[in-house]
Amino acid sequence: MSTPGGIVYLLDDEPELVKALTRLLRGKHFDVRGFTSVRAFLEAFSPQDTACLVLDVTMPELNGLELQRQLTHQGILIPIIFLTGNGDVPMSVRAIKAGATDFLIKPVDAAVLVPAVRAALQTAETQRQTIAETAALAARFATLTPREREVMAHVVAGKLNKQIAADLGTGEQNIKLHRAHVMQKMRVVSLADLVRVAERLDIRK
Amino acid sequence: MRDGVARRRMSWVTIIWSMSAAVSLTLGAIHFVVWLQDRKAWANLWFALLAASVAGFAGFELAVLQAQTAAQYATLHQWGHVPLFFTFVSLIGFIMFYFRSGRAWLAWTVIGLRLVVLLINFTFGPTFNFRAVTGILPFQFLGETVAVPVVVPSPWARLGEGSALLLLVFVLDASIRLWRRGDANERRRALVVGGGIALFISLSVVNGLLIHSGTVHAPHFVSLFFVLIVVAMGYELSRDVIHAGRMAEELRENAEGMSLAAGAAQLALWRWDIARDVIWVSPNGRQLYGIPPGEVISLQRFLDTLHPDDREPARQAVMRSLEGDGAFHSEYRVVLPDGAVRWIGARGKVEFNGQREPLCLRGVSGDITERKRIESEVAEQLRFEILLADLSARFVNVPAEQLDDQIEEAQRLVCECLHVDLASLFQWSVEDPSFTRTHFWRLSEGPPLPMKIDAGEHLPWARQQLQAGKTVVFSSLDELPPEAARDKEHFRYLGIKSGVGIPLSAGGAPLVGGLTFNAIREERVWPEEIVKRLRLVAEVFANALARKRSEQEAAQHRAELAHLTRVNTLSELSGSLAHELNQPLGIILSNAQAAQDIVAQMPEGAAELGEILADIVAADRRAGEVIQRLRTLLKRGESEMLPLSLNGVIEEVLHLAHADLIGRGVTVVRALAPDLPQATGDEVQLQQVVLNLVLNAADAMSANPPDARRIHIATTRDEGVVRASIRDEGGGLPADPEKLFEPFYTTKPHGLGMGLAICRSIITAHAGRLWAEPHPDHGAVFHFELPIAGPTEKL
Repeated sequence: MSTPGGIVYLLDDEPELVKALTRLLRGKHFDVRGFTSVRAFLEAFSPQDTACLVLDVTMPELNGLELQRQLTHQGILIPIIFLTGNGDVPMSVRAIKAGATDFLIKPVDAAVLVPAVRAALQTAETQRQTIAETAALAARFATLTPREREVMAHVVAGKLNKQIAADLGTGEQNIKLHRAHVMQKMRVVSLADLVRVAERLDIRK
Repeated sequence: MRDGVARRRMSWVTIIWSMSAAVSLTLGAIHFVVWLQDRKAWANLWFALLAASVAGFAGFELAVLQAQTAAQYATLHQWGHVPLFFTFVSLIGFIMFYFRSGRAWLAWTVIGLRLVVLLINFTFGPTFNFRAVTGILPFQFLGETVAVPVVVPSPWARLGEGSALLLLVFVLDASIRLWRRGDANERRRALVVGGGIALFISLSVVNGLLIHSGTVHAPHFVSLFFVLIVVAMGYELSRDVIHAGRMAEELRENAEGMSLAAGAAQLALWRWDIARDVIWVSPNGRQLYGIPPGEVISLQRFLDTLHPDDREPARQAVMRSLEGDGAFHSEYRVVLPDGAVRWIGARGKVEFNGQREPLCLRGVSGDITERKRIESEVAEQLRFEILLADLSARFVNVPAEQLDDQIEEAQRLVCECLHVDLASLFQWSVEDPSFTRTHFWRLSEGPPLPMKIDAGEHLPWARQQLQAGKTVVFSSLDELPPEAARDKEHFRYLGIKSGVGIPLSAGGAPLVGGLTFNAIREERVWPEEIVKRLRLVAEVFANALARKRSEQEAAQHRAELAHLTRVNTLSELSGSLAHELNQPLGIILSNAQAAQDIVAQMPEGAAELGEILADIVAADRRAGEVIQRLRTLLKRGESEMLPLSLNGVIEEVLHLAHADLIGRGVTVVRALAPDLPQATGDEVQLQQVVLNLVLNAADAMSANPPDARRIHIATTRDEGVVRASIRDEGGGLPADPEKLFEPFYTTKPHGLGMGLAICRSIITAHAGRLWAEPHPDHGAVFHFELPIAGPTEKL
């Protein structure tokens, strides 16, 4: 199985464990960056990276769950695999609800950790792609004239050209023209694609 | 002749001599009658004899005085010696018996001499005094002409006077001895009688001497002196008789008064005639000693009525009184024919004769049983009082571990002090209402005592009384009320004749026991004073027991607290322990696994290294699992309590453990109740418990042959609970199965000693209980019970 691209950040206050996990994951051909302090990690971390974070829950300077909350707050979506030496059910439930992809108990077995990391990176990659696609669509949407945006909103709402013309107080032929420009600019070929794009961009009437 | 006779009759001589003889005879007759009344009054008989002799002598003398011829004179004089002889003899006899001081040899000598005189008197003639009476001369005497003989004196005559002098010596000697020896009365007697006799004998001797020697021509009137002797003696003797009569009257009155007083005082009068060994006793005395009327009582017969232990002391008291001052005093027990014992006190006095020889012992006896009882009660109370003070002091500071011994020691002391045979301290509780004998003391002999008495069955009345805080006292079984019929029967069965039972209470705490004292050998009374003090003993015991109990409870609380602290510490410890251990285990594992990857890419020859790493990884995983499991088990407050099927839990565990059990050659015998209600619990935790018990059972049989490795699992329903019982056929349990549930207790070489402790804490958290007991056949059974799920909890 091929190793997905992306960076695996390791954050644990125990340097030995960071070192061991780094060795282990490098052995599995992951791009691993190990840290023993939250600050060092935040300095090195770039939100644009496709990456996942293997995070110790009990960190002396900052609780793992707290860090997760802060990152979410900053709009940084990075899949987090929690490690705990002492985890319990309520803690894991909270972590998972807050978006953690996994909650593993130390000592963590390679057989458990490697698939988890692989899945997290997959998630990161998916997220990165989604974000990239949305950005592209938004860029195309930005090229539409205000009139075209109005027409697009009406079209994805399922209205007929005649109804749209009546709503906007113009002729049906004009609406057909705007509609063709929208399809062209948004690089879609069918109404269904256009609706999907509109949903991605959260465009409503 | 006729005139002469007439004249003679009228004469003074005739009158005086006749009257003298008559007086003498009369006195003699009186004393003869006295002797007839009292045959022991020998002095009176001798006096009567003397008086008769003197009267006879006076008669002859009168005849001699009136003799008409010399021959007549000589014949009458000769015969006159016969009454004279008897006068001598009876005088001596009188002195001997009246004075009791005459010398026998003197007496016999005088009598011998008089016998010789009498012999000479009749062998040589004409009389003892005269060789010949040659004639008589008329002599004017008291206006009458009496005969005065003309005689040739006999040479023997001195012998007569000698015998009279010897008689005089005898009388004087006897009188002096009486004077020396006697009291005032006897001295007077010696003076009057002895002196009188001596005087008149002297006079008569002088008179006789003068006349017989022919020196003086005078008539013979010796008999008159003897009459005077008789009168003097008669006077004295009559005084005695009168005195004796008065004495007898007084004595009779005294005796009557004594009898009355004795009877009123419930005293018995008695008298022991020593010579005849016969005891006379008043009728109430026979009752006192239990001797039937009419039976003759000897000293031995009297001693036989006594308690065997008291016979010798009583006999010695009698002997002492005979040898000593005559005072007799003794106290002894009399055993009556019906077996009853009675204390009797006797006092008396010995009467001695003149020779200090004991004649009789007389005295009184009275029943002193009551006094003896009070005396012994008082003594007992005093002894008990001292004991009680000692016990109270002793129990102030008894260490708890010595208390049991001290109580039994105290029971022994109380029993010995009160002569009680058995003391028991019973305790009971709400859970176990039967009487459990926790402390007791008894005399060595006797039937075996049950240590536990089903009081409800055998002592219902006594239990009710004691539990109501009442003291039970009975001197004999007959005193028990009718409702105590079953108690009575049980006491009889135990051989108890009498007893006291006191409820045990300390400082108002609920009653938890009773203290009993029982008499087995014989019935006895329990005076209120004693019972009151026994209550104090019970209080001392109860306080000491209460203190011991509270000390034990405190110790148990401490132990429980220590246990709880240890378990909590362990629980907390295991949390951080898990973290601390997991971290390095994680490092080892990750490194080893990283190394495995590297080794996997290395050329041939690194296989060994791969195996090493594989072992490290395996060991690390196992260590991690152990910690994980421990952590899960010790975690608290996270269990999910849901209705579940106990059978289901068991089946699940057996499924999980199936392979393991087969590997160990263990077969499982199921006896699961088909329609078992649901219980409430955390399934995972209960699985842990069942798994633990099943694996323990398998471990316990590892030494058994394979066909004897069976685990029997049963589920049953009981009052409000479902129960699982897991039995093995292994080596059984330690003496105290509870030890198994203590943390860190293990029977396995590599056991942690936590399994059963954790199981118990899980089941306890489920409001259930877990315990172990030996199986009747062999091996051990572990049971746990869980409450049945309520209807509202059912989903």
